[in-house]
Amino acid sequence: MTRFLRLLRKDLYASRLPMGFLSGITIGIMLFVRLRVSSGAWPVQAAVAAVAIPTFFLPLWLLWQSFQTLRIEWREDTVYTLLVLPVPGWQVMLSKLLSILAEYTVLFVVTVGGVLVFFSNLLQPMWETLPGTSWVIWNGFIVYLGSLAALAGFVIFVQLAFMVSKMIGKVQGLVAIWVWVLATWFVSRVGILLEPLFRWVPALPVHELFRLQELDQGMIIQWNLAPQIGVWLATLGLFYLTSYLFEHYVEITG
Amino acid sequence: MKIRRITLGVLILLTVLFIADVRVFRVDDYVNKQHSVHFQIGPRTVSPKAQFKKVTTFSHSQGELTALVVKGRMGTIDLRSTDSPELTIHATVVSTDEAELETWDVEETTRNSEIRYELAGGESGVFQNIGVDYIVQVPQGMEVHIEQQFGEVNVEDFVGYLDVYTRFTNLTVQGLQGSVTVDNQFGDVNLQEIAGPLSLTDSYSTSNIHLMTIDGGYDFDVEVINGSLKHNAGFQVDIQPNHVRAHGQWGEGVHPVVIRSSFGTVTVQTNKISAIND
Repeated sequence: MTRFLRLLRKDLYASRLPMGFLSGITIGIMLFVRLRVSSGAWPVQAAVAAVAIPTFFLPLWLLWQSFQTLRIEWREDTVYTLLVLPVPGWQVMLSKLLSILAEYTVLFVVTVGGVLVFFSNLLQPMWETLPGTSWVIWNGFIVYLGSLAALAGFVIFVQLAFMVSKMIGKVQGLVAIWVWVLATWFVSRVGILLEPLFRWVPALPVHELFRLQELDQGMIIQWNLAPQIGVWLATLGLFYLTSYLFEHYVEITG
Repeated sequence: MKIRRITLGVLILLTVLFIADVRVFRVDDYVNKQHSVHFQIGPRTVSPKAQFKKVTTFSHSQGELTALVVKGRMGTIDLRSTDSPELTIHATVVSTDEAELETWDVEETTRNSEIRYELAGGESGVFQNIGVDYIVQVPQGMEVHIEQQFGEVNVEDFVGYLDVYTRFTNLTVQGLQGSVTVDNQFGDVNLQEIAGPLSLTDSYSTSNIHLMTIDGGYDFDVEVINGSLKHNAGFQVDIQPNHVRAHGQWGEGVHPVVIRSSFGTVTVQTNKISAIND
């Protein structure tokens, strides 16, 4: 456990600069838009852009970052050290995954905090249509957890794509992209194939989870989890496959 | 070298499977039949695909009744006034599931001078795969309260007092004499040929209002937050950041027109521009 925590600390330490830089950029954009809106130069709708830019950009950045955290081990030859460390491959992969999720968490908090600080009074009429503060906090938390889980899945695909591209050794960029596409397709198909096994799992009442009845009665959203469970299992399987390949077969050179 | 070949082989195999999968099971088949993540968003649109219907007709002489309440969902409510003293409601409960349909009915309740129609039943008490359409004809001068979620409300040639509460619903009123109160979110409001006091509260919608000449005229009080206001009514407009307030009178300014809108577009038209006095 101590070794794992050291690994995690190393990865978190490595991500502090991009994390700080992106946080600064996010706050900077929001502040700039807020000042322009306050001065009357831009319409209030520009606030949406200030929130949308980081919201759309950050997932792309984090996917690239998950690729980069592995790539940098090869570029700086620290992969040798990683492979001789007495830690299993899955712990190496997990620490990188958690560092990306931590980065996401910080940027999520910065984005939400920025919105509250800079735009809360502009959004006042919207707040008034929502049931209450606890409702907003609860749903924000659920959205955060859901996006965290989705991001984790995509990062696992990126890690696999990187490992396989290293094993193939040639046209690594193209191979990585293709493996990422195949991994996404593969887990969705596994989910469908395993779906009959999990039909006994009750549908998740999303409207209750998000307390949508407080917003508007009659709104019902149910999530059939049966196909999703196969997707989760397949994603977990790919995570272990990546770790296994890293530990046993990965090419250090190239 | 061996592991590289194996990896390459697996990749080629998966690629062949992927291409075969995409070609054999077309994309629209995925969408229609095999969701890897399946959302059931309900209340789903029941009416267009509903295979099962249950029609009930209610008819009453107006007598002591002065108020009508109709609560609908996932369907259409058509309302008009008639010269007849008869109150007539055609209610059609629709569902994609026959068993589910059996458990639902439109319930009629009367309290004092008010008569009410709404869906009741269902084993789980949760509206799912179920909707209701109403065709309502009321005697002139009645007070009508309509609640509708996910659907449409169409009112034509209405004479009386109309109170409408809509969510995710498009509302159209074509010809009204009397008064109208609308509380709407997430739907378009189209009020045409309105002759009488009006109160509109809406959010996230596009609202068009066309007022007819009326004795006593109108007194306008309009407030639009984070939205836009268009008018030909000669309002006195006070524009603040994110906030527009408009006032004006037409004629003697007897009948109030109160509009409160947020995150939407409001258009107010009058049929006599020259009659406006600021």
